Amino acid sequence: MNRAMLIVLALMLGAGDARAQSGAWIDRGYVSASGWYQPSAAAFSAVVRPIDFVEPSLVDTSYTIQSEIGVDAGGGVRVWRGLAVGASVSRFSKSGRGSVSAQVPHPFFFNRPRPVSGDAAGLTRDETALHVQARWVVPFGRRWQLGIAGGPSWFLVGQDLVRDVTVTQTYPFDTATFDGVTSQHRSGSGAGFNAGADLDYMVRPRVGLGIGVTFSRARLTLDDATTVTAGGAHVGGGLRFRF
Amino acid sequence: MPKSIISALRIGVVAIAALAPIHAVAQGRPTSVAATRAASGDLRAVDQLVDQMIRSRALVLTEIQRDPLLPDRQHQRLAQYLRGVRIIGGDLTRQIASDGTVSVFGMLHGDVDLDVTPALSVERAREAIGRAVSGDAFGADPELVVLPMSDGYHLAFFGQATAGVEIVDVFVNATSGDLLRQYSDFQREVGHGVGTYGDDKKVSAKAIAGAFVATDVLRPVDITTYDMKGNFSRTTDILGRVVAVAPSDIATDADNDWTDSTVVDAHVYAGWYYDYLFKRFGRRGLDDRNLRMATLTHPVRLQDIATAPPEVLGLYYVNAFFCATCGPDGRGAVTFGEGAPRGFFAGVEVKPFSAALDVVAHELTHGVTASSARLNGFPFSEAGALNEAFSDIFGLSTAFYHEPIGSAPLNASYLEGRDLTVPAGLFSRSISNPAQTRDPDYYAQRNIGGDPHYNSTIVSHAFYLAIEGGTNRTSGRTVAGVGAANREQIEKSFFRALTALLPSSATFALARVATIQAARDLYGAGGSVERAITQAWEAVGVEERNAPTAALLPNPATPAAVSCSGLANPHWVLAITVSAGAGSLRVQQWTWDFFDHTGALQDHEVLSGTRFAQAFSQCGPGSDRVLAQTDACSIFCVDLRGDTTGTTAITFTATDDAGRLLTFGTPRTVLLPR
Repeated sequence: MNRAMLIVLALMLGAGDARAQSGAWIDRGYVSASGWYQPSAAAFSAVVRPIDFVEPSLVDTSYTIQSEIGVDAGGGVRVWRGLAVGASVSRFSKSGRGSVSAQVPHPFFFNRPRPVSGDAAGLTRDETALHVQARWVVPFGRRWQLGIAGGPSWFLVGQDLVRDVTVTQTYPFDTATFDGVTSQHRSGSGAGFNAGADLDYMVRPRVGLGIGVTFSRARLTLDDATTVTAGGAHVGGGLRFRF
Repeated sequence: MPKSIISALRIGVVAIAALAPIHAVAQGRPTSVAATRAASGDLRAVDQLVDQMIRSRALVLTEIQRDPLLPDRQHQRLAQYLRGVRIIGGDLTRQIASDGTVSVFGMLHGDVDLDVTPALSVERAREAIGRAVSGDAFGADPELVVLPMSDGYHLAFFGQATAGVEIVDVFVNATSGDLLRQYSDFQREVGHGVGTYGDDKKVSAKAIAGAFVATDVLRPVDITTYDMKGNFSRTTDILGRVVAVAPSDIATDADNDWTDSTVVDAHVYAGWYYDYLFKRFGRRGLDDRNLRMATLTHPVRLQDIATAPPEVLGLYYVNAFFCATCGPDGRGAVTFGEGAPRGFFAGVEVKPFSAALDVVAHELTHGVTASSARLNGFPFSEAGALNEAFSDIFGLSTAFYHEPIGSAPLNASYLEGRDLTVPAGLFSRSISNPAQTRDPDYYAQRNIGGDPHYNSTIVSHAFYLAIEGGTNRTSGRTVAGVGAANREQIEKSFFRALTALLPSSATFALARVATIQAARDLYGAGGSVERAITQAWEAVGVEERNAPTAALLPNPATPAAVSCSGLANPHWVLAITVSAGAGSLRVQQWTWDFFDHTGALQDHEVLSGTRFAQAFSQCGPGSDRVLAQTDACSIFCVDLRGDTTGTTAITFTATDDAGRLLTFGTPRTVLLPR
C-alpha cells in the first residue's frame, strides 16, 4: 500500500458522521479500493533493426497481453453538491507474449537475409496510472450510489521489448532456426484520459461495496521510441468508504 | 598411434570408471588420436577402445553423417563424458565403411579424477554467468561440463549471456561461480571489408588480443590469409618452408573494418570457393577433409616493380600460383601477385591477383586437383592442360555461382581473369570463344608439349558448349547444351570426373570418357547431359578412341626447351602424338619417311621400341607401352637436307593386349616453305 493510500485512509478514519441520504449526496468525500479485470487484449507491434554480422537485421514483434488483472485505489472530496474531485492510482503487471518475425543477416553475404519466426514468452508489461477525476455522485435511497467520473490520466508504462532474436544456425548458414529472443525493459510516460461509472451499495453508513466500469487511454512513447497504447476498458469492484 | 598412447588411453578408461571424486581442480591426460588403416594394428586397438568407451558411456554418439561421395561410408561423431558430464574438447570422429572402421581422429582425456557434483544450482549458475560478464544470461539452462584448462580440469557451468551488444559464451566455476573463461560468440568476428573494386564484403575473422586476424572461424575449415607485407625473401622462405609462418604473418586489422582490399578479396573469395565446393558438390574443402586453405598476399612491394627481375615480375607481380607442397606445414598455398600500376604496362592497370573471384577459385582448384586426380605431374602434357582447364572451369563456375551474370567487374562471364586488368580482360582466356583471346578451340590446334594454359581452352570450351550449346567455330559442329539453368549438371559431371575418375596421366580423350561416364552415373545413360557432353567433345575434336592413332603437327608454337641446332635450314618443329585406343599398345617399331619437294623418298628411318621409349616422354614417363586412352608424345626438329618444302609421315607397328600386330600412322604431312 503506498503512501497516498495511507493518507486517504487516515482522512477517512478521522471523518465525522456524514453519510448518504436519499436525494442528495452529503458525505465529505470517498475512498475506494478495487480489483479490476481488463478482458480485451492489449496489442502493439514494433520493429527493431539490430546489427548482426555487420548488417541490420529486421525484427518485427507483435506484442499481445491477452487480459489483465490490476488494482486501483483512490479517493476524493465533495466540493459542490454531488460533485467531488479526487484521484486514483491503478496498476497491473503481467507477463505477455510476442509473435516474432525476423530477417537475420547471413554471416558471409550482404542482402541474403534468412527468415525466422517464433514466439517469445515472458515479455512483462506493467502499467501504473494516476487518474484525476471529477465525480458526480447520485444516491438512490439510503444505500445505493451511482457515480459518474472522468478526467485526465498520467500513465507510466514499462514493457519488455524484443531487441534481437537468437537463432540456431550451422554452416553453410543459409537457413536459421528461431531459438529465442533477447529483450530489454523499456519505460515511458504520457498523458491520457479516463472515464467511468461506479455503482455502490453501502452495507454500513460509511462502508460499502461497489462495482464499476472504467475506460482509460493514452498513447505514449517508450524511451526507445516505441509507441504503445496504455489503458483500456476495465470492469472491477471493491470496497467503498465514505466520510 | 604409438602403443604407449594406446596404453595410456586404456588406463584412462579404467580410471574414469574406478576413481572416486577427489577435488575441484584435477589433473588428467589429454591424448590426440589419429588412427588410420595405414597402421591397421593401431586402428584396430583404437577402434576397440572406442567401442569399450561407448559401452561404459565414456563416449556418447552425438551424430551420424552420411558420406556424400562414398555411399558405403558413414561418419560418427562421439563426445567424451566423465560420469555423465561432457568434457569440453573431448570428442572423436570415426569413419566407418562396409568392411569396418577406416579412421579415428580426435582428442580424449584420460585419468581425470574430478568430482562432478556441482555446488551451484542451475539457477545460481545462470545468475553467475550473467554476473561474470556484467550482462544477462539467456538461452537454455547452463550445462554442467568438465573444462580442460592450463592448470587442470575444472567442473564448470557453460552458458551464454548478453553483454552490451555482444553475445558471450561463458564458463563459470561450478562451485564458486567465478569466471573461468569467456569468449565472444562469432558475431563479433564477422567484420566488414572493402574489395579492390570498392565493393562491400563480409570478412570472417578471428578476434585475438584486441585485434582481428584473417582466420575464418565460421566455416568448418581453417582459411587463413597471410600478409607478407612486401617482404619477398620472407615470402619465398615461407613458400619453400625455410622458415615457419608466424602469427605476425597473418593479415590483421585493428577494428574489424578491413581496408586492405587485396587481403579482403583473397580471404573472402577463398571462403566463397569453399562454399561453392560444399554447396554444389558436398565436398569439404580442397581434399574433402577440410584441409586448411592458406593464401599469401603482398608477396612483393609494388614500388619495387621497376627493378624486379623478370622471373619475379612474372610470378609475384603479374601472376598467381598454387604450390601443393608450399606454405604452412607444406600442404599447399596460393600466392597472389601484387599487380602493376598503370603506366608500367602502358595504359593498363593490373589489379592484385586476388581481385578476381574466378582467379582465386582457379588457383584453389589446383588444390582440389592436387588432392584428387593429381594432374600436375607432367605440366606440359595433356594432363597439364587438363589441370589448367579444370581450374578455369571451376574458377568461372564459382563466379557464376556467386555473382550476377554480366560483363562489368564483379559479374560472372566466360572470360577467365577478366577483372584482373583495367581495361578489362587483357590477361584473360575466353572459354566461350577461345579465338577471342588467341587460344585454341579445337583439338588439332593444340600445341603439343606447349603451354598447358594455351591448350586448356580446348577442354574448357567443351565445358562451355555442353552448358550453353552452340557451334564450334573451327569444326562447325553444333552442340545442344543443357542450358544455363542446368549448368549444375555439367559442373557436377566434370567435377566427378576430376575428383573421382581421372588418373594423373589423363588425356583429353580420357577426360572425354570420364566426363561422359560421370554424366551417366549422375543423370542416367542416354540423357540430355550425356548427349551435351558427348557433342561438346566431338565439336572440339576430341573423339572417342577405339583404335590407335598417330598425329603429326608441323610447326607448333615452339616450346622454349626445343633446340634445333645442328640442322640444315630450313628446318621444322614437329609435334607427334601416339594415342592408344580402347586397349593398350606396345610399340615394336616405327618408320619415318621424308619426301622432297618432288615427292621422291629422301630418307627412310627404321626405329625401335626402345628408341620410342626414349623419344616419346613429353606426355608422361617414356615407355614403349602406351596405356589405353592415353597418349605418348614428343617433339622433333627435322630438315629436308636443304630442300625448302616436302612431306613426311610416320608408321608405327605395335602389339595390342592380345598380342595382335597393329599398324597405324600419321597422315603424310606437308612441310610448308619457311
